[in-house]
Amino acid sequence: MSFVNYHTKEINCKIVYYGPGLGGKTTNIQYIYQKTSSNNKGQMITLNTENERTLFFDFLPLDLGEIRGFKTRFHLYTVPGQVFYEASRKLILRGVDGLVFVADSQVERMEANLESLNGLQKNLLEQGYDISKVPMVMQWNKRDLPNIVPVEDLQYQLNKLKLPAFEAVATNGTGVFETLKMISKSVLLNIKGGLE
Amino acid sequence: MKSVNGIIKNIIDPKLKSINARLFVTRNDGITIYDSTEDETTSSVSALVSGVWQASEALMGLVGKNNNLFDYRLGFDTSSEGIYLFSFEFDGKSYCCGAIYKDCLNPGLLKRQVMMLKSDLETIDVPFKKNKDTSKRDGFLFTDITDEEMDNLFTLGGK
Repeated sequence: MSFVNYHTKEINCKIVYYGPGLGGKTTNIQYIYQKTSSNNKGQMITLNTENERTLFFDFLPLDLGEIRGFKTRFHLYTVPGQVFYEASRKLILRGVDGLVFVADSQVERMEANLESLNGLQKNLLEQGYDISKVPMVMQWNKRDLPNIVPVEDLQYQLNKLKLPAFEAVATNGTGVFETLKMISKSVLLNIKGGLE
Repeated sequence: MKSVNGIIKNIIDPKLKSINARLFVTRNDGITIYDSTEDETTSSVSALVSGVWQASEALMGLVGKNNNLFDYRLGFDTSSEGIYLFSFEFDGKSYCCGAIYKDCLNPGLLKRQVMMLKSDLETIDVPFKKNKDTSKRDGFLFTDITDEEMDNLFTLGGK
C-alpha cells in the first residue's frame, strides 16, 4: 500500500518485479541502477546465493523528483524466481503497489512463465489482492534470442488481462525504462487520495 | 493533526541522548517512518529490516506456538555490536522498531532501553486523529498524469 505523507508531500510506492527464474528481473533492476544518477538512487541491496541467484530479494530505492509538488520515491524489489522460494515471494508481495511481470520469451520457458503467473495470482489472492486490480505491466524479455515465442503468442497465453506490455532485452536496456515508466505512471494514478 | 512520522519522531528523538545507537522505525512493507541517522542507507536499512522481520515472523508462524508476534524480539549481535528489533502496534498497524549499535560497553542495558521504547510507542497519548475533512481527498490523488510529466520525472533520474 502506497504511503502518502501530506505533511512532507512525499509519496512512497513499492514496485515488485515478478517472474520465472532466470527471466531477467535482477538484470532490469541492475540496468536501472547503472543508468540512474547517484543523486536519485540509494544503495542497491542484493541478497544472492553463492551462484548469483536471488535468494531473498533485490532492492533499489529511487528518488526521482517531484510530480505536482509531491516528492516521489519508488522502492523496486525483485522476488527470487526459483520455484522453491515461494514463501519469500509471498513476503515480498506484501504491500505491493505495482507489478512488473518479467516473462522469458524463450520457447522452452513458456511453462515456467505460466507457472509463475499462476503463482502470482494465487499469492496475491492469499493476501487479499485481486490481480486485475493491481497496477501491472508485462515485459517480454530476451527478445534478442533466436528461440523466442512470437509476441502474439505471449499476449494470448500470458496477457489475458490485456495489460500494457513491452518487448525488452534487459541486458542492453531495451524496454527497461519504458516498462518502469509505465508501471510508475499506473501506480501513481492508482494512489488513493484519502489519508493513509 | 500530526503525521505518524512526526509523532514517532517526537517520542524517539529525546531518547537519543541516552541510547547510543542508530534507532529506526519502519512499516511492514519497508517504508521508513523514522531514522535517527538519515543518510543514503536509510531506505536500504528499512527494506532489509522489514525483510528480516517478516521472514522471522513467517518462520515462527511455521514452528512457534505463541500467536502474539508482538511479544518477539530479534537480535543479531556480538558482545559489543549488533542489531536489535521488536515490533509494535500503533493505530491498528504494525511497525518494526530497532537499534543498530557498535562499540557498546553494555549491550544488555542498551537492549533494555530500546525495549522501554516499545511501551512508549504503544501507549502514545499524543492526540492522533485522522483528518475528518476527507472530502477533498476522496478518489485518487492524481486524476491524470501526462506522458510529458512522466518523462520529466525520469529525466531527473538520469535516463
